[in-house]
Amino acid sequence: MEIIVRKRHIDGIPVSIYETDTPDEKPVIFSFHGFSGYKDGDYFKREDALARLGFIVIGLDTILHGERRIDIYNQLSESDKMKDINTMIIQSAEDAVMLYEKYIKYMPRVKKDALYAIGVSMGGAISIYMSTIYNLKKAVSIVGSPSMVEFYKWKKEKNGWADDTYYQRNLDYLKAFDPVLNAENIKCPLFLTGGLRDETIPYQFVEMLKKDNVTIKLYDTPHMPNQAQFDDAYQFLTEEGN
Amino acid sequence: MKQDWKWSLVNITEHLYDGIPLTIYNNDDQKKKPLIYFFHGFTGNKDANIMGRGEVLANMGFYVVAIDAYLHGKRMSDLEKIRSNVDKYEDIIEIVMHTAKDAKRLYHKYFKYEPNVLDDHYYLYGVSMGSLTAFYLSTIDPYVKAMAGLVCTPSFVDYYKDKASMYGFNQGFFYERKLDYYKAHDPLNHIDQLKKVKIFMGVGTKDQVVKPIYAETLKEMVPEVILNHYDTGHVSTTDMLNDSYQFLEGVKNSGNHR
Repeated sequence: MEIIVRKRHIDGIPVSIYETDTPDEKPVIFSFHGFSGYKDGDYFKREDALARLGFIVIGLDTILHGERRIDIYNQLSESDKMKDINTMIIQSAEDAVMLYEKYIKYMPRVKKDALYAIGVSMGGAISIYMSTIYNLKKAVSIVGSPSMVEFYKWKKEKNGWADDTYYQRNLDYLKAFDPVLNAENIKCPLFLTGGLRDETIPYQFVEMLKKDNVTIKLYDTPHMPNQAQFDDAYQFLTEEGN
Repeated sequence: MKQDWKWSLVNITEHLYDGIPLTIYNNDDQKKKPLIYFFHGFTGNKDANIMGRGEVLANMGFYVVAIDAYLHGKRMSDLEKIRSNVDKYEDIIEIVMHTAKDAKRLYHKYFKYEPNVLDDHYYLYGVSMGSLTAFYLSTIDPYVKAMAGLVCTPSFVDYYKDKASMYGFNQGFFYERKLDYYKAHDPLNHIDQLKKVKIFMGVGTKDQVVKPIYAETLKEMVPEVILNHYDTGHVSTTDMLNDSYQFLEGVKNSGNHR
């Protein structure tokens, strides 16, 4: 089965669309990359795999990432960039909803009311947050944190950030968006993975989201996930029910 | 990421909030004051296009925040730098909407907590595309008290159609979807929100870039807005500037903030 990849620049957002060269209607899945990554850089080729499973896969560069990088931001240290990670998460989910509502749902071969999301690390967090603002069918996070507030506090300690106004204002602002604190807004089944040896996003953050329709599975891995996590995610996305 | 210098009595500092480059002009008099955003025009940037207005507004008692529009100034990626301006113009409404949402978030996330910024209302000042940002922001945030738009347009749909005709935008699926989306968000379709904001509009009678007809349409719909015509093209004249300052001063001194 041949995979067609279309790359476009939609509303200033670089987008890659993957699908099989078949005329049937397909569900759409957004695939979100991790912090400092870009839309076509997945080591596990998940966009290709998801397209073969029958999805139209939409990859987009998160703001300040990939082809949306800007010089003034590139000059910051990784630690300083990390201070804005939740802003990027929220913006990317909003970008995805806007692109879907404005264009994608009207595109040919797009199955009605069948939108999914998947992402790795920061991309997983985007996927989880998106499930709080849009009626997805299912969402997957591979080694991502559903927590914004507690995760941000932990990042402060780990990176030695100052307890300054910028930090405090972000912390306060995130309370209204944090999927753990606003879990009632999640209306679809979620599948979350965590790595037992993950020191970048410790699995304890993954476990903070306790809800009937949330399935959590931990693996003996560091922050780099293994193929089993993707295989389990693909099974979750394609099986009926949940 | 902070750079300071003095210009007369005004402190001018550069910042990066949420990855958004900002320049703040503040008369360091320790008084609590209203914030005013400065929105520049298409292909411009927050510093080159403010042309002295930051210092004037700061000396009038405003906390002035000039912001690089989305995909403009220091927010321009390498990809954007090689796009043609006509190609970029096709996304002008998206640039406007994104920038307005940024400004709204920055006020509620950071600025209203600044000790010398009033936390219950703010002002907007926009030139050309920046005026459209101000009109749209006025429809999505009830905290906006007043706005001044120079060589301005409050229209999404009709303005975009005019530009599409002028520059030969690509027609078809994306064009049609954009127009449909713009209809739902066009400030001229949200008159009830605009009626709550005090509005000054200055237009050039010879302006072919942003034609006066869009501002005139708003004036017909909301007679209480101020619309002044000037014998000029797509340029902010001294009279236009002075009238806009006088308007802002009047609103600011009128009290009854919200």
